[in-house]
Amino acid sequence: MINIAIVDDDVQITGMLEKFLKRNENYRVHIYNNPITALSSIDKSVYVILLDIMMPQMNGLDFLPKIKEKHAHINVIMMTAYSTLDKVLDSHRYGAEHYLMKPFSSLDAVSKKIDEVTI
Amino acid sequence: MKLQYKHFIITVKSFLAVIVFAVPMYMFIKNSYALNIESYVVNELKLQKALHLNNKYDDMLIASSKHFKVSLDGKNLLEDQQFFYFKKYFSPEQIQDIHVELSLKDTFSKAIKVKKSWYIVTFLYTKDKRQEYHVSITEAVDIDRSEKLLHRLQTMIIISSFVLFILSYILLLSREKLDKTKKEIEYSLDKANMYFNNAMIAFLIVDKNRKIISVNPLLCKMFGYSQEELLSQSAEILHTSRESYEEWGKLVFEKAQVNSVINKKYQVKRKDGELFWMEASGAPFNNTKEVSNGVVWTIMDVTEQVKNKNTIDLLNQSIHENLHYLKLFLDTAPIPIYVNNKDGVIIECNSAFAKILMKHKSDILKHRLSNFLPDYLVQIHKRKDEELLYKESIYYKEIFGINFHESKIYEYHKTTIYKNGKYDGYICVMVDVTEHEEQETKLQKLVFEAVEKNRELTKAHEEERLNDIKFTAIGQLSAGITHEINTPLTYLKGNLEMLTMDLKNISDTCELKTQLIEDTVDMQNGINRIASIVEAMREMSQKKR
Repeated sequence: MINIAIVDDDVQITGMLEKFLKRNENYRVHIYNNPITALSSIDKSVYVILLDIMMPQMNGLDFLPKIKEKHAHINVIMMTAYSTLDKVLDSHRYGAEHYLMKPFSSLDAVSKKIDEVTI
Repeated sequence: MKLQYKHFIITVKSFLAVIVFAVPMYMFIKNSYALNIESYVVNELKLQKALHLNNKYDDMLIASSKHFKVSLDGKNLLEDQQFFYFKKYFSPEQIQDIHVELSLKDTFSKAIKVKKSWYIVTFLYTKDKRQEYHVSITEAVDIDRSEKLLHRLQTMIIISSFVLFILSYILLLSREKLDKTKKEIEYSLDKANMYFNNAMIAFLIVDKNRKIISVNPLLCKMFGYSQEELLSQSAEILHTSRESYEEWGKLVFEKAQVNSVINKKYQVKRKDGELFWMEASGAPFNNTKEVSNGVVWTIMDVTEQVKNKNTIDLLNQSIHENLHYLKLFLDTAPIPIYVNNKDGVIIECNSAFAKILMKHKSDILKHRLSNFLPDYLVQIHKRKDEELLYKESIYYKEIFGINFHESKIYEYHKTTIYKNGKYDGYICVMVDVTEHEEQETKLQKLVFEAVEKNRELTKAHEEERLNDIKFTAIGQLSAGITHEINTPLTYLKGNLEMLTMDLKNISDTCELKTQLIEDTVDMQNGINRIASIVEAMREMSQKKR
């Protein structure tokens, strides 16, 4: 069982992703709509985080180094609705494994990225 | 007060001198007579007693003349007409005393007063054959005269004392004055010595053989010798060489012995061999017997002065040379330069100035500039020159030319010359700016064109900047729109995808399933189209930025 945390302020996106990922029995999904709560709640059992960049409470690029410092083993897949080259480069510099643009080309693409980091 | 006290002291001293001299004299004279008179008085008493016992001598006479003898009986022994009965002038007690006295010794003298005059009477006592007593007056001295003499002596002593007092007083006063004069002389001598020894000028006194008689400390210090080393030495010791010494003698010393004052600078030598320049002023001094006994020299170390003079001479020479070069430089300078005095007359100019006036330099000097220029230019320069009365310098541009066709534009730089703080004219440097003015006009045109071009560029740049701001705003707006559209598209697309998957997983193959799948595909296409538009807008906004 792989623990996956979804950190995004948009409830509908987290709900849609939760529904999709729960179809896979190997995944256990944890939803966090507030990154500050997520930073204190996510423990070492979590293996993958789907992390939004633009959040009002805390930017995903600020969240990333802090969670990596706390739990270095966690794999982070960044998500954003407005992508720039700077954001991509910063994400990789801070330790993100993958980068997904919203809207996703397909939900399978999300599954594939998760599979890539969990294998 | 001090003077009065001195006089009092002198008076006391004089008085004491009189006492010391006159009183013993007076006492001696007085005592010598007084003793005799006293003894006579005593003896007189004794004689009276003696006579009193022998009354038969009542007729004893006494004479008043200086030389006489009288017998006791008083009858025939008189040698002088002046006589008196003894008894008339003696009381019985006195006669008795005389008698007693005569009984003791044969002779004695006695002072007797006769008619207010005193006489010294010598009594001689003898016994005759009848054993009778005879008293003869052997000698009588007019003591009145002696007394008068005594009085006269006393008077003389008093007068002498007074004279002595006056003389002593004068003597003491004179001595006081003498002492005072002596002190003044000593004080003057000390002062002279002090001035001589402490003078800030060196003194050297030599005799006619040029031997050093006297020097003051400053001279010793100046030459580095002690006084003992210099005194009685030949003045040659102070000279650089024997020849120098002899030359000084011929040049100056011989003249100084004759003339009242002589002054000369000369190089001399210190004890340590260092040479220095002295300025010596000599004046002869005369002795009572000889016409000239030597020379008093006052000497000053003028080495610095001589050095300064040499430096000044060198500087003067340098200034003359510089002045020469300056004139040469001015004359060869291609820029016209002229100097006006306070009356507006040209006192100096260079060849360039003469050239533009087409005159010879000598024809320009001591003339006014107005003599060479047209009237309208003269008026312009006159007005400008008036400004120099309250300004240190002015400059202005004006044409200069003897005729209109050959005129050039010059920039006149006029600088005021002051003498003793008062305006004394000006120096004018004329710079030909004709070409410069033309170039300046061209340059102004170029500058105007450049400014215009720059203004256009600035305008274009401003437009570009505004466009950039617009694109930035559009970019920011696009980013926001992109984000806001992409977010709902994400869950819309995801849910539609899951719906499609679920529809496909339905085992029933009815027409409705097929129709729903086709609808989802259409929806998927619409969503993809929206996503493409948004992505294109994002890319465009990022490119612009």
